[in-house]
Amino acid sequence: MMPRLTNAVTQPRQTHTDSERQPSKLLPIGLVLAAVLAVEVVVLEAPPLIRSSVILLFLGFGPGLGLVGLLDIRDLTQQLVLGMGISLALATLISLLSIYSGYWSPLDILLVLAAITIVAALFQLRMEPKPFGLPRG
Amino acid sequence: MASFPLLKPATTQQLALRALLRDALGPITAVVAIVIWVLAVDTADYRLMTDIGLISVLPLSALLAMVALTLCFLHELTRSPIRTPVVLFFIVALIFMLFGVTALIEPIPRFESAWKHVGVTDVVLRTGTIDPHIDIYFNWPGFFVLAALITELGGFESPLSLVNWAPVVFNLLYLGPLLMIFRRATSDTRLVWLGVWIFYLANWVGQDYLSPQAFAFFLYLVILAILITWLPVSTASPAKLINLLRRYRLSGRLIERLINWIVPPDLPASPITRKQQAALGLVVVLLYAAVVPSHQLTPFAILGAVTILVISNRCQVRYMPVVMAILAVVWLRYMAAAYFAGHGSQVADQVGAVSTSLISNLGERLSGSPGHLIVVYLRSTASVIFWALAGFGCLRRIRHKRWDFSFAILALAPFPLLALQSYGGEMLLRIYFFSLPFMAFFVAALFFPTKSLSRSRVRRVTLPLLVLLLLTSFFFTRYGNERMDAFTPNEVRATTFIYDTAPEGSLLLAGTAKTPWKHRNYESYTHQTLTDSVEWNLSGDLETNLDLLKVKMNGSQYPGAYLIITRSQIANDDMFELLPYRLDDMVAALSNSDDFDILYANEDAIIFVLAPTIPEGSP
Repeated sequence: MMPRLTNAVTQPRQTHTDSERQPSKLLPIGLVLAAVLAVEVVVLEAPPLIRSSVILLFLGFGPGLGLVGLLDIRDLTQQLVLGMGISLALATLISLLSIYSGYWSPLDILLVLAAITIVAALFQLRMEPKPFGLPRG
Repeated sequence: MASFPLLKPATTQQLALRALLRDALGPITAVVAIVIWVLAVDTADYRLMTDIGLISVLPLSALLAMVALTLCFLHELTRSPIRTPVVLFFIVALIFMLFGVTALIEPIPRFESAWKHVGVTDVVLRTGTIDPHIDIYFNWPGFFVLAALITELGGFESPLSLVNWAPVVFNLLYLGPLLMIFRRATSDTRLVWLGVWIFYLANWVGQDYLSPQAFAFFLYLVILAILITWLPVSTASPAKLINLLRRYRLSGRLIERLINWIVPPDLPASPITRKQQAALGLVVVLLYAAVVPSHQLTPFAILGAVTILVISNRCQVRYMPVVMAILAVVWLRYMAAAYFAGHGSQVADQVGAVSTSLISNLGERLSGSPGHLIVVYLRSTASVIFWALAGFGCLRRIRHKRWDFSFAILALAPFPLLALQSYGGEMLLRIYFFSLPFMAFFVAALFFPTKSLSRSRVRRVTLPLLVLLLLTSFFFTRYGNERMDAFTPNEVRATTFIYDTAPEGSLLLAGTAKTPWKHRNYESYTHQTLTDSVEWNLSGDLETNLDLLKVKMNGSQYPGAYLIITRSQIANDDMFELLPYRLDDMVAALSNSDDFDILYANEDAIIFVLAPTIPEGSP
């Protein structure tokens, strides 16, 4: 099991009840749903406001939060920052690969990003449950 | 004898109500300020702007609303503990007011470079290809490809839909990594939040529009945030170095004190395993790999910062500069080869030419109309004073035994870029931008050098004064050129007319670059300006020079040639005095000339073409 990343001072060990562990599955499940929803809004040509909102949120956070969850980062700000950075970087690099390979297909790029998100989320689900968000205390 | 009525002690409920009102006063005031601000800017008429820009039409009530927001924020900093949601609300409101004001006042997306970036993105959308021979942008297409992806998947009509609110979005993106970075240097939340506030007030350089620079800057911040947060050197001892110097009799009291300041780690250690170090290192490489194909300059700013961190023993990941250098060089050598084939010698000549860079960054900008000169001098003065305040802030921290050596070197790391090239006269602006997070931190540190909660009368006066000064100067420094950066619907109608009319391959000439063009069929036309592509005969009169223009537009390689002159170009020429003749005079001369016809005209734009030539001998 990957040890927890912490900030300056090592945080004291916290014991968790089962109810405190429950929320840890929310993020990966949410990411899987977000990935599926992102593909759906494009394929089904959802109304503009819904489509643009879902796509912007997914491209901005989806793949990154999926991968960040594997790093066991507890701080919410750090999760979001890394999530955004990785998401946008992945979207850029996969898009470049697509265009330089002569096969420019935004939908296929989205499918690749969705696949990365889903796989990362599934790995998160397999990891030992942990609280999501800011540490307690 | 009179008796005084006894004051009843407040009940628990009354005390609770008073506390609630006290707590809610700041947020409620801020909400009222935002509403007043929105209503006020709605009344501003951007067409009445003078050469000092947006401030000339901004209602006083809008400025007062921003002052109120600022005071709410400063008051919140006096609370213990500071309420994070409230401060975040204030900061988001500030970002909206500072960077969203033009989206509310101006009906058309501003800034000609944004339109050009829309055009590059449009090429990607339409053709699904990258041709590096079209333009420099196609040699660093990362951001444009991402923008095309977002436009297509998001169902936007055009990339133009992304322009208006791009500055607000990018500045919101910067907030997260800024918080990460500042929290590494201090646990004093006052310093963290004030540093963030000052960052935004000092972010006048305007590089956060829809651009590769804005995107690359976000990744620059995230990379530094990762390196500072998880990958600093955790242990270091000056003893070895001092012993070594003593052995060779090279040490002295001053040198040893300097080493004691420089060598010890200034950032808290983060317990991290080798696997986690490797994973984060890969993340940094991934982020950098996205920057390299997206922007010409930022990879070198990052490389410089990371190299300095490694050399000064501030970063664990010692291989990182090598990996980054390899990625950057590989891209330049193989993917941007088309650009260097045409501009290689020009770029190489600028390396090391610091004085030439300074001249093009400063000297050539110190000209123009009186209003414009006010803006230019204000920018230069404000920057120097800002850097000086940052220096004093750093010294104040040292005096209180707070070693911010990493931040100090990161603040200075971008400056050697000036020796690389002039970057079209914009290198100093970019240096200012890259160093801004750390400079803002040190300016804030002037007021909160330590976590001490002691109240300072000096701070109670100087802090609001400085912040309000920054707020006021922001609208001069950032929006001082707005008269030429803003476009009108009529100007867009004119450029739309050209793109609807001109056959592909035509020559499109504009008076100056300040034109809302290049957003359609960018690759299909030759775009030039009178400032860059005409060899004016300065000793001749206007009519003689019009003959030069006629020759230029008569080139047989173009199926058509169109000259467009707009309101924003005339403003640009008035403010910068770019051409030997006023554009107004040129329009009058062209209108009266038999060699030119008016193809299209409206209140803000006019399009000229060459008059048809009747062959000799025709009836």
